[in-house]
Amino acid sequence: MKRILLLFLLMSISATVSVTASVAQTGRAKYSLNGIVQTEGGEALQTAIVTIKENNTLWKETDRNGAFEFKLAKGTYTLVVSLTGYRTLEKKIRIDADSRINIILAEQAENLDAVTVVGKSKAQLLKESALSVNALNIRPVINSTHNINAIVNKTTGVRVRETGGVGSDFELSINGMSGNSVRYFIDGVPLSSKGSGVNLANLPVNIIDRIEIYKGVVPAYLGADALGGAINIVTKEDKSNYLDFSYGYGSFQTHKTDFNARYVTKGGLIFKPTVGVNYSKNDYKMKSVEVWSEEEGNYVYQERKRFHDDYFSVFGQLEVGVTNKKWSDAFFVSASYSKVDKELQTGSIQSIVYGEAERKSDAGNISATYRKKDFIFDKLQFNAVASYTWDHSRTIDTAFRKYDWNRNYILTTRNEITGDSKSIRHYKRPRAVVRANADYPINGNHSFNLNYLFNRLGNERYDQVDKSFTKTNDVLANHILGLSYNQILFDGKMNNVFFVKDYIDYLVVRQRDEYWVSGSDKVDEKSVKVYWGYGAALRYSLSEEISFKASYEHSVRLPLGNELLGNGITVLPNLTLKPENSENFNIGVFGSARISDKHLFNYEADGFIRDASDYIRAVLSERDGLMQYENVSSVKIKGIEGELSYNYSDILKFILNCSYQDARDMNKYKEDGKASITYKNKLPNRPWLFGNAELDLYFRNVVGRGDRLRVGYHYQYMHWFYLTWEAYGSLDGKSKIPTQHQHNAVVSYSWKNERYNLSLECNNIFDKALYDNFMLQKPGRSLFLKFRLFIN
Amino acid sequence: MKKFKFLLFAVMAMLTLVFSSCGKEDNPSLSPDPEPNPEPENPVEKYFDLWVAAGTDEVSYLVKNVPDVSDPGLVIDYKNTGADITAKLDEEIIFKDGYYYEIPISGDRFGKYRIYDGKLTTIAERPFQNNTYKTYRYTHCWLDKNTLCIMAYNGNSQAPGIIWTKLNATDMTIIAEGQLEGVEIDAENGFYFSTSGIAKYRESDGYIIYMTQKKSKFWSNDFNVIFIKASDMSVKCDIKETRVHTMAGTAYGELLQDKTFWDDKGNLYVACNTERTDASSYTEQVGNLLRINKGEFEFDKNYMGHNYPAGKLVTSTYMGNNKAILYIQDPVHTGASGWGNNYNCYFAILDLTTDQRTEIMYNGKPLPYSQGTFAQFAVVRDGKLYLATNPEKEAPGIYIYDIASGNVAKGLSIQEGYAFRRLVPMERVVE
Repeated sequence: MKRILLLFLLMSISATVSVTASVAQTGRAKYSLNGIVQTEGGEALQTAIVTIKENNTLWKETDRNGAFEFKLAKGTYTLVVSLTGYRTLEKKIRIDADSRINIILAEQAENLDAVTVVGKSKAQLLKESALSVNALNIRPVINSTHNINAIVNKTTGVRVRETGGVGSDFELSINGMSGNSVRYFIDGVPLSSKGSGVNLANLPVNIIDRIEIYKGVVPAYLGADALGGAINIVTKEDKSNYLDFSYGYGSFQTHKTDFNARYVTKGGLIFKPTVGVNYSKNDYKMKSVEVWSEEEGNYVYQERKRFHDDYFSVFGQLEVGVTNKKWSDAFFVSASYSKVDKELQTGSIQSIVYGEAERKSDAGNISATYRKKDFIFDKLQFNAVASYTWDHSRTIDTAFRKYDWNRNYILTTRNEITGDSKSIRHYKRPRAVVRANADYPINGNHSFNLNYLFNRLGNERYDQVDKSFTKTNDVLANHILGLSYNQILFDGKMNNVFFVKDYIDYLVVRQRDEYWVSGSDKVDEKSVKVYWGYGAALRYSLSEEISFKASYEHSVRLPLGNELLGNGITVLPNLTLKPENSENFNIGVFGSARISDKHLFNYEADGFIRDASDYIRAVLSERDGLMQYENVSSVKIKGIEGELSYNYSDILKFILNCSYQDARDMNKYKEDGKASITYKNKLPNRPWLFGNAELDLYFRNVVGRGDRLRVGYHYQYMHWFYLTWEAYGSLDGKSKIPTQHQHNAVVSYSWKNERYNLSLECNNIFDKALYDNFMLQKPGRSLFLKFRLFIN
Repeated sequence: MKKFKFLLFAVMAMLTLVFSSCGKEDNPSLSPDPEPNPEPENPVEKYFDLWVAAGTDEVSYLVKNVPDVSDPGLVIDYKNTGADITAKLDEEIIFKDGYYYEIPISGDRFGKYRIYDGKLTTIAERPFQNNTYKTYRYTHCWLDKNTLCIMAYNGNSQAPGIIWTKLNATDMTIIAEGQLEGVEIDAENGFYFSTSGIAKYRESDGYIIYMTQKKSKFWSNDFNVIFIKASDMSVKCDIKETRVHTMAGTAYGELLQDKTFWDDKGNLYVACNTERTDASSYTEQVGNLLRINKGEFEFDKNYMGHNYPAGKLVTSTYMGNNKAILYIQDPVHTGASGWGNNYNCYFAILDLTTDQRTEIMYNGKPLPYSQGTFAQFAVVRDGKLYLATNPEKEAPGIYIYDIASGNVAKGLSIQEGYAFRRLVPMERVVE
């Protein structure tokens, strides 16, 4: 609590000093530049970014009237105005008195990729904020993208470990913090509100504008109790009507189709339907699986096709609402449905073969969103979301069969996954989410933000077949309050953010069976606990070529329902789990250098420390394919990472990034209170060195006017690592996860101003056996052809 | 027809009487030892395998061969030495004549392995044929020097049964397998068997003595002993024992720990435990030894060993001369604060004739109290008792008790930081 008071004091002093400084600066000769950004038809354009090119840390976002305002000293400036869906505009302006300017942006069928935009995208501006963040513009790659995980996996410091093909389970780590330490959001609301089956791998790509990946320090307005970071998916908010449809077909009988549209009736009612469907047979060849050879009297390694890994997902959503009303800038109600059917092929290692077990989930959601500027009083921007989700998942394990890779089976007396009785395990997890956010700018340089997030998760579980299974109905609820203060000083050269978060955790536990596993005998039936988090971030720009940033957060992450309560099949409950704590530090330098109009270099180098205690990790039981989340008392991760990019005009783009992470076990003592031999040892079974190189070439007017051809190549490297502790036991016999060299290529062609788009992607060109996890092979070479129609 | 039915009924009744009566059977065999030592022509290398665990949550299991554990100056470290078996095997493993036998973590086969000189080598593997087992949740017994019998609960609570598989230990081929017939269970009311149970083979008359609990969702306060004719796996009888709550091991057989032993006369002793009357958790128990006398088909109603008010029996190993070494959990005795992961275990010799329990002393003081109730720390070999400990105030190590003289000497130590898990006597025929 003392630390929080200290932070408040710091915020107050900082606010006082900075307001004084701001007033002093204002006292110098400064003129007001007011402006409005409009369409050619005179419609105000909200959320356009207006940047002063001579000092690109100075930028404003237009309000719902399309208005912006700068305070500028006498001189000549270049305004750069950009907005998704419109052509970026540059305009020179001489300031020697208070001025006013009208800017008209021309529509563009589709915003081209980042290299064509001289003005800064929101993603770029976010990258240049005080926080440590990767911001990805999805639009430039939307024509060829069919899996968000693949895009995210290319970014600095992020690693996605997949267990198989399309729809497989995956674990995403940000700066070494993985799994459930990372929280996912869609437009600031927990992604899980769309249903437990909806994730980065199956969310319709076409609805996404950009993805924000916050590393270590998570802004308070997300309301996240994330330890390692957060991913916020920002959906597109096009102003005009459009229809966006795509269909793709690929190897292993993979189909993917997305549909997304916006239509406004004459009465101003807006309809936004979204549909996304994924299907894959996932029948790729496993390169070296153990197969029994009767002739040799031994197991031999052979190629076999996966035979029970079908994956089907569907996501449908309809949003209906209005914008720019007196009572609301935007009000939408939406209903969505998601369904995931997944066959299970293997256990935790590929020699555990399943042939019948399945997992299914259905979820329905209704939600309402409300946004209003000048809410109650002037300049207060308020937005709120209320959402309710019905979520029902089942794991079906009713076959008394033991399969092998020949698809042969023997009849047994055990189910496939747990080796017990036949089971159809049901989980009903209703989720209620309420988010309210108020943002108040004192002036152009100072603002406060207050965020409240309520998350309530029920967990009713029962078994349809196994009558020995005990029915339970647990409740997990938490309230997260976040207050942040943002300041911009020295003409935008400095940006500081201070924040505090309050986490209130409420738990009702009724499951009392298998207490020796779940620890249910050690927890009260009802409990309320309060935890605090706080942090600050700073960015100072010396020039466009060099800026520094640093950030810190004392983060708290409450255990998820899945971690605490298990999933009844592969994840065991652990009701004694405590929240994770971590001291997260980031420091970085970044900048860009433009050599003439053609050559643009961007660089970023960061260092980070994550000092986590009571760290929650899924402890894989090699024994029987089960996992249980446990508090690992302390883990310290240090790392460095860097990215370099080069753009040549609008025809070449090259990105190179590399991440190094050093994760150490900081458990000084074993359970018995004595010293642990692995103290300060490098943690096993985690990638620690990886990187990406990407080259894209763009050709325009290849066949006809307005067409565009993109040829891209991507290389991904992951250094090998040991499955178990490196320092103990003979190195000769140790199991390793081998080095990955993955080569991918893409050709994408767009014509009629990107109305029609066709792309062909080849992943794992050299058909290597790739592993993210021990003995869980990913797909070999695969092709994916995608057609996209975009009409607006 | 009525006569025929009556005759049939009479024959069935007689057969039932014959096969369910648990009287003494005559059998000329005298040898009680179910696991005869091989008599190799080649020299035999004797050594110990020292099993340790490294890490707190991410645990690696490491094994090192040590020929002589008696050197007090020797400190065993596993820093880039020893075999890391984590990716393939569990620590709950069967050993015999220099080989290990296990259903590995793939859970689909029977395997024979060698862990030697820092390497794990697969000698033979065979896939399951009919019966399937869960990894490390089965019990075993040796029917002869080359026939291994695996047994376990079949896992199906709707139709519970006890499955068995006989294996040729040379190449792990399946000799025979099936499910016991004639064992009653009240499945309709949710009763099923212990996960593994415990099996012992009585060579003197060719019976497998199998102990299991017939329990519902929660713990049962009794257990059953089933006598099975090993040659055809027919059930002779099934006896309920109510004097104690359970045999000391229900889920992992004796894959890791000794729970039973034969004395010199061929009597079988079984470590058992009963929940304490003042227990706050079921795991807080007090132990007794029960006995099945040679040739008998029931527990000796007149015998209950280890008649003490406190002391949960963790392991029990016969050391000869009608004495057994017990590894006992008792936080009051050791002064530990509780039952969990505290230093609450000690070694004591139990005289099976007098029931006198004598704690093992070293230099006039009790052997350091040890932590670890899921470990095997007592080994008898060549007139000596090797006792491993995980003490609080000193490094894990071995003490050697000379059975003839009663002298205790300090042996080697394990580098601080590892959790000592298992001491395994190995004998390897040098080829």
